[in-house]
Amino acid sequence: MKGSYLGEFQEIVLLSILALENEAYGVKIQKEIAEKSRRSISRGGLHSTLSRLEDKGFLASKLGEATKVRGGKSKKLYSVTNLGKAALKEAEAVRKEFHKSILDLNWVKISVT
Amino acid sequence: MLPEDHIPKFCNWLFSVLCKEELYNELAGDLEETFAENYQLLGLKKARSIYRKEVFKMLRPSVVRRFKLLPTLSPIDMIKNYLKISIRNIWRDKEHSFISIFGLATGIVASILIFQYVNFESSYDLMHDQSKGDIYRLSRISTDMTSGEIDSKASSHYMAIQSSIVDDMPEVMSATHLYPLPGVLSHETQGYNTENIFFATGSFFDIFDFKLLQGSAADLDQPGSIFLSQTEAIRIFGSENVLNKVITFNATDFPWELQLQVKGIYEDLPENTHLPNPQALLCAKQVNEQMAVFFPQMDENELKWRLTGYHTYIKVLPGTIKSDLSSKLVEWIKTYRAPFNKNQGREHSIQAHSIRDIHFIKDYDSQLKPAGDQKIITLFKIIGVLIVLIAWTNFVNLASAKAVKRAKEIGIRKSLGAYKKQLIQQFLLEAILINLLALLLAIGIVLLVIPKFHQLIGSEAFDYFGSFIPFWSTYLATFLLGSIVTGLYPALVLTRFEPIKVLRGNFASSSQGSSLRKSLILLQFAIVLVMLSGVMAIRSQIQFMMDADMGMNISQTLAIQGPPGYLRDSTYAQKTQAFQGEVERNSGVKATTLSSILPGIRNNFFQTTNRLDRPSGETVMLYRSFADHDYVSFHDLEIISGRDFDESLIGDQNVILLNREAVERFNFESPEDAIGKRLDFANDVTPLIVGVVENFNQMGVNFAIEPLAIELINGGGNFINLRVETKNIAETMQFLESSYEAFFPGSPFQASFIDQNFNTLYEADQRFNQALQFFAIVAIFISCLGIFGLSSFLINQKMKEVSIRKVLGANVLEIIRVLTTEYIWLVSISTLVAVPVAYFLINNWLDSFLVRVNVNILFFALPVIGLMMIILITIGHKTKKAALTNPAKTLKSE
Repeated sequence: MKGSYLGEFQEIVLLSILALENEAYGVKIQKEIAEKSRRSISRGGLHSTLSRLEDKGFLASKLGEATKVRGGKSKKLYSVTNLGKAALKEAEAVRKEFHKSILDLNWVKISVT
Repeated sequence: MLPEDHIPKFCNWLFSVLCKEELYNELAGDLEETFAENYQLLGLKKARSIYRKEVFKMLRPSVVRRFKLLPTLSPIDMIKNYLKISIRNIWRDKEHSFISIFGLATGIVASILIFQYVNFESSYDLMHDQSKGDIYRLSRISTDMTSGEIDSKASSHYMAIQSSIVDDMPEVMSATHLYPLPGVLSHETQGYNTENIFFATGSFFDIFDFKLLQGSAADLDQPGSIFLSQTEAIRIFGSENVLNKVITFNATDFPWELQLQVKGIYEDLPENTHLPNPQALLCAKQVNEQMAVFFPQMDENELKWRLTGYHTYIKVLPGTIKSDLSSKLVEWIKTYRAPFNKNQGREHSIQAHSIRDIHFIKDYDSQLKPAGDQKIITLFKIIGVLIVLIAWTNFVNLASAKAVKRAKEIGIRKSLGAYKKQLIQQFLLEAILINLLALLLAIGIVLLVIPKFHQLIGSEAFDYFGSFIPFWSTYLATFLLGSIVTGLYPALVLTRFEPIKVLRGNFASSSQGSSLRKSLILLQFAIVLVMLSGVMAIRSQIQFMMDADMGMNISQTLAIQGPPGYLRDSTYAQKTQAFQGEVERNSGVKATTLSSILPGIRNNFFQTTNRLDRPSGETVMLYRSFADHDYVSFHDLEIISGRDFDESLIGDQNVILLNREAVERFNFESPEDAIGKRLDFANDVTPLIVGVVENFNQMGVNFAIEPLAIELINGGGNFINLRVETKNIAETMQFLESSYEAFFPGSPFQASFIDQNFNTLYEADQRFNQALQFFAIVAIFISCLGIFGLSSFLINQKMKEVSIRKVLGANVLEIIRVLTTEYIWLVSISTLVAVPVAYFLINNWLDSFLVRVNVNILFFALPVIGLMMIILITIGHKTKKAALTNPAKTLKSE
């Protein structure tokens, strides 16, 4: 099913939201990804992914507090839905399957030589 | 100041317009939060640049708001259909759409850059609220009473003006004056070189709308107080809360020390004022007292009405008429100055300049900032309009040429019952759509090139936000109006087609509107040619000024700035001579000399002087300079009579050299006649003229030669000039620096090559040239895009002709000739149009220079040849393809 497919970046975004628990909003997610995956992403790029994930039903969001440093604009807090968590598990499973097959192949190769 | 106040306002505004409403809070909040954090961690500049990039990357479909085109019509389904068709059309013919949109976008980018620059340049000193009274600067005009000629104009005036004018003239509400004096500010043991220090009065903050953040303006009138700008406070103390802290001031040019206490902090001055941002303000009374020490022979009144250098500003009662004020001022100053005027044979008068005009006033000595050029601003405005015109011309040409392709569509629409009005609507909509896409693309490009652009023009024009909304909404409105007008023409051409002819299939319309097309192309070429000729002329003028023989040798000359005044003591003269001796022993140094002035830097030391033998005769505004024995030989100056300073004559003191100009102004019969005479420098200083040197261009060829006296000094001087070997220059520099530091501990080593002074002198011209070059390239680029699109189109239409010619025996060269003749004609005719215009403009521009190049035929010939080649290359590819096509392929489809 096309809808449940998770891109690599989408997966990272979901994971970072899970890691941030109740504090997951734009800036924090951006920073978390920058720190953990050591790649810098623009807020605009992140927005595309977040809205796509929300459309797929993997993310839920609610308005958070408005702080002074944000010029009084409220945050939007994201959380991963059950559907999202399921998609993550599936993606992990698919990946593991692949890793396993690669290992097997390597092992076969080694044994041949 | 809070971090959010530093957010790039243009980007911020843009984002608020472009972002979908439901996303705005979340995204803008995030951006601001990130900005605040980056501001803390990485500093202002970096944070701003990240912010700009972030906003740029926000320009994506999921974020950008859906603008409703033509909201009044939008509910109609037909419009939706038009839009759909338009988008399909844009998408289908990608080459054509790309050329249209990209060409337009390039033109818009250029015009946005130009207009923001113009807007910024016109915004100087608009920040002062003049509703409670107009602000004027009082400038000094000096007129020779015998000849009636104005012999000097300066932006500063006498010390006395500020206090006397408020007492004497009821319409003057308040007055302030500024005396600039560079110095070193030190706190504890750390010293900071400070270029822009003004001695001012408390009324400074009353007259100008600059913000005093802490302290009270009245304290500035108390000797011993110092006001710091925010930046300077942070530079010295690392904090803005520094009231009552202690600072020491030392003047750079002479020994003078003051103990000061910080009494106020003010906001840094914006860039768009004619005042350079003063790093510190001190009490003017102190400098007045110091001046009195310098001139013990003058009583207080004489000093006050003779000592100039005070930049004086007044605020007058609302309703005061400028012409009345001016005539009153002229009469007023006479009452004080009359006795001095009579003695000097010169009348020194007052001219009032409205503060909003100051930025564009040139030719006044001692201006605090280089003036802007009204001519250049006007020229840029014209270029901005022309470039957009070129871009629109392309658009019209391409759209009308493409009409043929759309003929069938129109035929069918018409036979199905579409009204002409509806068709016009449809094509107009398509035109506006393309224009808007171009505008969007252009805004994106502008955001990316802003930093480069700031570098090019040397100021942060895009950080100016003053009249942003009125200005740009006018721009946008004009732009939309223009796009409607340009859309209208192709729409009219298209809808004129008669359905029967079109649908019958024998429709040929390559001649449709071709004369308009040709004249538009002609116009484009002419504009490009004029711009290119201008670039050529400016280039050769700048080159000419830089290469011109100035009558003095300044090659490979390095000037080391001597130590600041407070580090000079009675041993200073000996020390400089010892330093000279030390460095001359180095193989990298060929010769040295000491001097008080440097080529390329204005000499500000002048005084009215008489001949000793004719005390009431000629009074000359004589520029004074000091140099040692080697100065003449160092710079290869030519002695035309008398002798050079002579080191072997022990009694060679109190002697001077004059230049030819001075000899003439003092009315000596000949250079020989001047030898042995004396001048009167007042204070019982009466130097003997021992030699006359040929005139040399101390300031570069573009400045008038002033009467100059060179006085002999033994050691000392402000500058140590060195002729150096260019080989191993790095080593030599290192050696110089280390020995300088050994001789003058605690004094910063500052050395520069003299030709760099000249580079700065011509910097404005060079910037102008660079900008013109850039915009000429943009204009050429857009024109080429248009010609490329158009030619590929026309050649396609002519394929049948080409094939028939080939069948009848024409060879490839003949075919190419047939296809390119038209363009060669166009270039020739546009040359005829462009050359007179360019000649007129170039001549006009060159006339503003004292010494100028002659208009050269190459200024016009090279651009024509260049343009011709670019055009042939542009259309070459398609032409070659057409000429090589097998005729059978095109003819078989008939």
